[in-house]
Amino acid sequence: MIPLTHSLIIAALLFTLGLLIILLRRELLFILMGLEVMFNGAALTAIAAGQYWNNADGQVLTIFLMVVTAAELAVALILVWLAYEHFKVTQVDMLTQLKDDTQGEPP
Amino acid sequence: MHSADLISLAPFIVLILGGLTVLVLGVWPQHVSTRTLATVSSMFLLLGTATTVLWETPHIVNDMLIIDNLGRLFSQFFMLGAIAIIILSFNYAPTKNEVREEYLSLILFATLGMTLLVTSHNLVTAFIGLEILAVPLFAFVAWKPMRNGAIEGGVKYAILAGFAAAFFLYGITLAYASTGTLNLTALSSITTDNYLLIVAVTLILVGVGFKLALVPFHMWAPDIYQAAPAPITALFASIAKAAVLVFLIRLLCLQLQYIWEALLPLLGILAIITMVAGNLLALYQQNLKRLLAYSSIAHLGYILVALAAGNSLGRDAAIYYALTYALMNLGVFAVVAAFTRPEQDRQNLEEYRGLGRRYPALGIAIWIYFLALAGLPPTAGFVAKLLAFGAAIKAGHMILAIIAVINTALAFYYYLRILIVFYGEESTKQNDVHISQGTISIVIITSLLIIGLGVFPEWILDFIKTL
Repeated sequence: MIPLTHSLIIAALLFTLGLLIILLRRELLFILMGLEVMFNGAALTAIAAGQYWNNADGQVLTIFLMVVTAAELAVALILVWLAYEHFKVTQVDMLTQLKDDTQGEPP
Repeated sequence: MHSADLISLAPFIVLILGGLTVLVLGVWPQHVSTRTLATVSSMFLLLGTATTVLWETPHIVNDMLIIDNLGRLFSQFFMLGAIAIIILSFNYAPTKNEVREEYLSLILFATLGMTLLVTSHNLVTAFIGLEILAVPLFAFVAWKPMRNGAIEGGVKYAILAGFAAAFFLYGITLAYASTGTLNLTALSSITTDNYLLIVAVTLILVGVGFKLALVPFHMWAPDIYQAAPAPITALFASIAKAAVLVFLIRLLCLQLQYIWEALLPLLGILAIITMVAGNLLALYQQNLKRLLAYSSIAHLGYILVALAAGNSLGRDAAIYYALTYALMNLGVFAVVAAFTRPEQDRQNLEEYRGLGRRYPALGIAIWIYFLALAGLPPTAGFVAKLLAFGAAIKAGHMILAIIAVINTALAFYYYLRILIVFYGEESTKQNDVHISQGTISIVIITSLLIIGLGVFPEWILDFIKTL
């Protein structure tokens, strides 16, 4: 049987990998993929811990996790598609309509 | 399943049935008017509020939900707040003809997420509540995608909400790996020094911090407040944040002495940078919705001052502040929604010049809201700040309280600047704004509550102390 620490280390690596993808890549689709990798790191931890503690909570958590992230990514993908459809934007830096307005003078 | 369980679950069942009923009505063969749809959803929310009265407290449902008075107070508050959001959306010109069954059922589901979050007794329930709340919200930000900046706001919020959820979830799974349980009571009975659990709780706090827009995680807040339609900004800034805040309070009430010894100083530091950064960023801001976003970041800092005290006084203060904060922001954004232009919200502060004089009812209400936000008596904002800073002093955090008071003084500048603009002379004649009766009644109720809770704080404080 694989010890818990091994699986936890692999899961932590997966989570960090996802985090790095989000921080380093600028393409919207890559960022969503990075999110998915982070979620998978969490899922792996839950499964390994469920095995270690010998109860089903970890697997229940993972099933909920898959459903919830699928729902979340479905909406996120629609938004990314809308951004491409209307602005032809695929990179997060190119979305710059919303910004601080500090130009005015005091009353 | 006992009958007590069924009664406890009744509000949740009502909200789910309500959401589905509204969806079905939307595809009904005959045309159903928007007014009917809004009335039906409000009725379901009222019914949900009524069923919480039947709750026998305290009761734990299947180790998943805890039904207690704190949960009841906030569940009722969220459902009534959601009715206010529906009324505001119904009268809001930029999303006219777009507030149909999808919108209303998503509001019901988001309310379900909030009630799940505040009654969660298990980290899985909390996660599901948080996500049921978050997913409708990023659909709302991009509602009517052709509005200025709507898509951009939606994409940004979707990415950041996912990011926050990933941290929250990783924290949950690590807590599970280190203790073997996801139950909040079982977690708090763990007394051994557990290194992994500290990491887990920190990760959960990061996730919650993103949702609350505490300062290192605040970048999304101004963009989203600006991009979302004003009624949705009201939802974000008031009840949605209060829900996450109540979960944070529940988390901090767990008896995990050795963890809080390590993390409470960190909360104090977070409080300081959140207050200072929020107020400094608000100082020169010209866009009203962004300015209010920065001001709500600063308010979260004041609430953290109370929570960092780590005593029961701080907890009571934080609960009172959460209620007041939600009321004040609901009111302010109701006024912003009322003054909207036909295409989109007024953005620059100058576009609001003189509106307070032309519409006296909303003008007086604006006075009350901004006095409350600035923390002046006789409003509830004053009592909330008094309690929060008092709790910090009681816990011996003198420096924290002093920094908080200096920040409050700093905040006067921009709140009074807004009031001056609202009551200034109109430079050019503007088109008339139609203000509906629904909006007026929301504004009157919230301002009366703010004054009432400020003059007679013992009404609610005595109740909060027994929670």
